Amino acid sequence: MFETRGNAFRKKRPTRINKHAKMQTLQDTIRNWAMETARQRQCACGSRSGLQGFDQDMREIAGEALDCFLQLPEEQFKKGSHAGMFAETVSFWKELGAADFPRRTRPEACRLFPENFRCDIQGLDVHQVLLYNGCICGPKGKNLLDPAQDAGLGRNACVCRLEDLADTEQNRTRLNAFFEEARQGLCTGKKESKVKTTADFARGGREAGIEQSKWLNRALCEDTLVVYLPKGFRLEKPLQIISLCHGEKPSFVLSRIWVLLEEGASLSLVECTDSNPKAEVLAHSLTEIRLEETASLEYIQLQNVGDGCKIFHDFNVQQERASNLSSYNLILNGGTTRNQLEVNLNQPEARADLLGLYLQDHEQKASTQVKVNHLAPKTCSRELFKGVVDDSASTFFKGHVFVSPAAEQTEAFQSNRNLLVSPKAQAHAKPYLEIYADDVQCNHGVTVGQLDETALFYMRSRGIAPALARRLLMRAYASEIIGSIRVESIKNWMEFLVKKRFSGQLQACEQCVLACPEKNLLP
Amino acid sequence: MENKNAERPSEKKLEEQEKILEEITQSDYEWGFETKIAIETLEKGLYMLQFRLDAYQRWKAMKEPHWAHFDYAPIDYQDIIYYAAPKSEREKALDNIDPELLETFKKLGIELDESKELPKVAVDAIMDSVSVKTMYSEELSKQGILFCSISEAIKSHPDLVKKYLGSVVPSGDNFFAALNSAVFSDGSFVYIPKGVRCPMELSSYFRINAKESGQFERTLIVADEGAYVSYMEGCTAPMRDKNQLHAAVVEIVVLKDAEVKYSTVQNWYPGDKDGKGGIYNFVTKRGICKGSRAKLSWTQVETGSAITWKYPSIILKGDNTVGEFYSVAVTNNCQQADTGTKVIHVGQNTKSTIVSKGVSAGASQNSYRGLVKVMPNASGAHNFSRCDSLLMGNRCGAHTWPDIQCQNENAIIEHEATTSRISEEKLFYCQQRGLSAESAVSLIVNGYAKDVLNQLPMEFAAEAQKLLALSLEGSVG
Repeated sequence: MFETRGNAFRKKRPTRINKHAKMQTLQDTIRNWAMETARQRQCACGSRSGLQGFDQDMREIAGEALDCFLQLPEEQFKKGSHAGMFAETVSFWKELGAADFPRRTRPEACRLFPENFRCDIQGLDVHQVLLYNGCICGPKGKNLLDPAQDAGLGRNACVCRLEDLADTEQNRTRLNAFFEEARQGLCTGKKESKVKTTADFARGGREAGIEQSKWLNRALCEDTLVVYLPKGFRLEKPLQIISLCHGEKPSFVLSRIWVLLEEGASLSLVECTDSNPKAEVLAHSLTEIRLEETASLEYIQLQNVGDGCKIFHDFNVQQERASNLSSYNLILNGGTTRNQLEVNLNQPEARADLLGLYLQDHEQKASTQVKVNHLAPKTCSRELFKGVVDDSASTFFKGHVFVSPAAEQTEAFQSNRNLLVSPKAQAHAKPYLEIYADDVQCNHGVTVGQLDETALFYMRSRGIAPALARRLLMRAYASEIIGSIRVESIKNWMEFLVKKRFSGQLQACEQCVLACPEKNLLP
Repeated sequence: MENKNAERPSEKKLEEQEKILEEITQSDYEWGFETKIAIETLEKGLYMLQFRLDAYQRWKAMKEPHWAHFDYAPIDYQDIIYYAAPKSEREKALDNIDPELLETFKKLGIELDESKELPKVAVDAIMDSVSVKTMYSEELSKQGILFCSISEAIKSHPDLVKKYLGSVVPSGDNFFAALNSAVFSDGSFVYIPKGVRCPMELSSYFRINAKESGQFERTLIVADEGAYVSYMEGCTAPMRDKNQLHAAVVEIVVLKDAEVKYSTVQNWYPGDKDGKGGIYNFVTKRGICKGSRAKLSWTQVETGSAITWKYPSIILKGDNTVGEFYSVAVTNNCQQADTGTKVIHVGQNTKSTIVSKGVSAGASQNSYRGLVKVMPNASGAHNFSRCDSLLMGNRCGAHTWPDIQCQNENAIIEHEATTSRISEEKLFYCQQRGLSAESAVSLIVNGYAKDVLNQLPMEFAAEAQKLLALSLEGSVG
């Protein structure tokens, strides 16, 4: 399918992880590693004078999260679990002698300012923020966006580091929910994995497993990007957050983004994870989003990294009354990509549309786990995840719709479609429905299949070459997801990328300056 | 004004609904009588000692599984009587059977008297741990069909038993299968020789009667090349305050060109409306389509048991084999059901159909849990699954936990599921045409379950419909 066969992209493949490694030692390794990192971090922090304000809070949470992580019971390190996969990767890289924690290159020293980083896309007009291996690039102590670019910016709305946010009463109230979330997550995650009773099930909502996957991020991630839009504020241009994973040798990247949209605010957010093609990076990103009443967010996540990268993404959304979320999860490329989406519809009339597209080939693995909690009446969720699986790639989709007893008149639709185009490709789907209210409309559907032979025949009878016909059909298949992106320029850009991907011309981070040695912008 | 008018009937309906609900929940369990016959409760007869000991060793090393969506008190495996049998010896002649026993089965609607002119159904009646009577054995044996209790088969046909017992469900398959393999006492054995089409429906009827005993029956059905058999199974138990364990194993081997149809109407005592008592039904059922063009079809109507843990599975090993699974699971009061199927496509051009209809009412929890797995060599495999759930009342839960694994590019898998309640419109439509609320619900539920009920043999279909109507009539307004 993807006509990438035989090109440079395929030549070098990371050695596969030794799967027979003993879990016990893995667990020890990851613990030691985490301890070591934490210690280093403590030193680094100690040199930073005057810990105060939000930093203080974060420090407390981080300390506790690390403790929790270190005390994770053994069975949590089982193969396939979030923690287990971390353990595997980290220990593997340890063996290589190079589990490198992100180098604390402060972005001031770095010439990689967003201005230097432009995607070569016509008419893409966005605000940009750059995260380099998890560090936020840009001048300290300031709003990262130029107020001149958008009326109202810099007044109230802000996109900045958490530590640069003034520790005022107002800010504290605003961000309180995030801190609470983190603390609650610690409590939930700590709960022993005892046998669940039906009552536990029905209470539902938070799941220990999901919380635990965030602990490492909470413990060790240093920079938090805060995106805050006050009441009624609409950011005209989309905001693009580019998260660059760049590692000459294996390294570990953590990033965290908090998005708070107050009543009626609206935003288009594009989060791009890119890497240099040869990077060997283990990345964990945590995006936490709060949508207050009638706020509306379009969130597009684009993951396009080298085959040597393992990307873990935790996406957590809290939605209040009549808020609206459209989320697009596009995996163009990546060695192992694991996305965990959790959406909580906390108040009536909240609505979430979750869409996803994963295009897998070589030996790539993509895992998408979606949990939607309907916790109030008249909430609505729609999920549509589509995949194309080639070569020896495998995909896993787990959708879990939870409808609490209070959530009458819920509408929940869940759909997963997979296209297998090679004899060794694998697709695995678990579409779960867990329903405790009776006045609901829920359904789900899964299909695994091939391209429509009749359609192919039709096109061939009209003189279209088989390869092109297949590509056309696949683009049509993908356009169901991409076509519904509201921002025109981004939609076109995605279509362009997917087209390139299908014709085998797209390489990880092709549009990234890092790929151009002559620019030499690296720190 | 209009608003008021609109509200009033719904209030009335609510009241009505509550009344009906109450009636239903208080309606007695019809089969809850106890047969007063002398019973001996002794653990006995370790035929196949090695098989059992091996299973026991495996079982000891296992932990009770808790992944199902259940909430129940732990089972004390030392507090179960593993063998209970009516004291009078099993006799060939009907006259020698305890008349009370005959009466019991008569009450259950089963005539063990062969002389009666009834549609011919051969029944193997099993009371607690032993088979008390197998009908038409002789007539069937003329065609070479073996239909007897498994204890008899172990003695008289050791070659067949040795060859097939444990070949589909190995003794260490899972916790409950291992327990069954270690302690199973009786059950039915069916062998249909090459090219024989069984002339009548075969059936076994399971009855738990003794107190505190568990039932561990084992059924083995072998259909040789080109054979056909339709097999039915029914179960009831008396009302007891204490939970009783039922851990059965059913193994089916379908050879080349053969076809087996297995139907179950499961109506173990479900416990009272507060969830006290009832049967814990942990059953392992699995069939294998060994040769090409073999066909296996499971049909089940699950209305009883406090807990149902049951996943009749199909291994489609031969090429061009066909597997079917039709299920209606109804839960009411505090019942919990976690049931579904596993279909594993191994051979080429294999085809499977899954239709599951769940109905939950009261405070019950009803789950569908299924696996569809297409192995790398199963080119042209095709699966269609449809799992619907119907909710009645807001205290119950309906869940769907499917698992779909595809490792072949030429396979087609379609899975669909919906969850909803009986729509007001449908009810209104029926009532407007003069049906009472009760009969409207009954009609709609029967229509909803029709796809499955249609698959049942005639005798069972009537019973199943009656059961559905009884457990659910009018539970929704």
